[in-house]
Amino acid sequence: MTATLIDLAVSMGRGLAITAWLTMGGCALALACAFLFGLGRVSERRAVRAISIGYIELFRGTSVFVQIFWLYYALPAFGILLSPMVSGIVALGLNVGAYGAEIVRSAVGAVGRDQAEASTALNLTRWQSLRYIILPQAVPRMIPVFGNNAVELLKATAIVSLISLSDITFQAQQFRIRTGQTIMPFIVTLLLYFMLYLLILHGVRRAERAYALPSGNRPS
Amino acid sequence: MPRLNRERPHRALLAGLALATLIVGAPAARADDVGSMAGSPSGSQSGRGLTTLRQRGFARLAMSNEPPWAVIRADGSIGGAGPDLVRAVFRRMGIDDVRGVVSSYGAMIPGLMAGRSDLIDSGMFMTPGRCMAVAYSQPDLCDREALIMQHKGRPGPRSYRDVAADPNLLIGVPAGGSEERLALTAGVPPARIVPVPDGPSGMIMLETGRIQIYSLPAMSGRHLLDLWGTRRFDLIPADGTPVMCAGAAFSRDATDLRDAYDRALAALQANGDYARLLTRYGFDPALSLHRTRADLCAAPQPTAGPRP
Repeated sequence: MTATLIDLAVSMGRGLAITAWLTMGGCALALACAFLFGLGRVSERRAVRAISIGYIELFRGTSVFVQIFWLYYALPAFGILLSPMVSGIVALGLNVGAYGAEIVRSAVGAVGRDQAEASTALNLTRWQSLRYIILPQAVPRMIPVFGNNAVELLKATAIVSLISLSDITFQAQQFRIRTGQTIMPFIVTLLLYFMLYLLILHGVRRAERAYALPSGNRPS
Repeated sequence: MPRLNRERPHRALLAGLALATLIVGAPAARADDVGSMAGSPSGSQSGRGLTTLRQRGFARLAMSNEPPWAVIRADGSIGGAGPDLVRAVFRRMGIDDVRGVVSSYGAMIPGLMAGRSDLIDSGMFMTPGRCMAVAYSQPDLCDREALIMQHKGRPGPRSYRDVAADPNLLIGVPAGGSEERLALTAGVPPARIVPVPDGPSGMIMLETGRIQIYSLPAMSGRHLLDLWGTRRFDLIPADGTPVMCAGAAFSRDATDLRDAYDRALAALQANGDYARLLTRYGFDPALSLHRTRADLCAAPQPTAGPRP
């Protein structure tokens, strides 16, 4: 019994580390992609808009399951051999980043036209207007939705068993096969995912407070 | 309002460029690292030949958790009859280290083809279809099909044909395994065949009555009964099914490695190490004695990929 519990603790601990790395790496890449392509989507340049739309629709329109399979099993045929962890982070980050880009676009679009026009009247450059006028009003709208996406990404990490990464879910399955026990590993799995979810929630709350506009300046 | 200055746009451009380089460049750089460590990424002969493996000092063995064929322990180390045998064979070939590439059962062949591993040994039975996709060694672990059912105290079905004859029976088969083909050939309608993802799930499906029969290789079945207890379940050999054999599977362009493996395996079979290792795990070393890759790959029997 004790040996089984140690077995469970050791293997789930190893799985937790993998899941945590995937979630953090994936979220960082997704955030970068969200801003890069979300702002690219509203760029004045046609080519930038086209590339951004291409990226968003490609990664939103195909399943992350297929994408991870492509990165890990199909890319080596073209001479690109990504490590399992990099494949996982890139697939999750690019996939969730495509959803994030649409959030960035809609949040930027939700800031009134008058704000952009006022910036022009003040002789601000496009970058200055974006950085000091538009984004400070748009980012508070993005954060709760980004939080949602981060939670979705956390749960999507379970697909990495496909590419020989032993995350929480995979470790629970291996434990079942070793010991024949089903309920205990899945209770632990449930609790671990919920714990990670609470951590993300906490981070999102803090970000919401940090980026909140002073009262009186809240977007209506 | 924050102070504005004219350098900012320039810095933003640089930052953007740096970010873009990071996104595009970082994976590529990593790929080179991994590529140089693990041999040519395209899986060419030079990348996974015997010389490369000797220089690298270790072999990458793809396997999934299929006790007692292949076992992944809690600390991540690998064991089981297949991997232990592979380790012994490679030691004889002068390669002392075998590292496990743990994956799901269905991902092993794609992984081998993508150059993620050098060989597979996880109780993957030889079938004509698989023999076309990979280069098998001579057979190493052989087994018969078996049926597990709840202990009822009265005679139950003894073969796939018996299962076909009773319209009330649902039969569970390992997803993607040879058992499905055997059941279909015996006349079980597809609607009464239920795919089972893994051993413990199959046992729970038996317990809860989602299936009445669970068919799988006898050695896998014995392992499950060790965990679940032999009083509540019966394990019987399935009448009229052929002996199936697994082997080590190599990439089709690494036949030099496969041939060297075969020679070392034959030496272990001759000096008795092979029989000792198999007996320790409960396998019957005599089953593979008169069976060859040529026969098993030509067998008109199951074309769908079997699982152990």
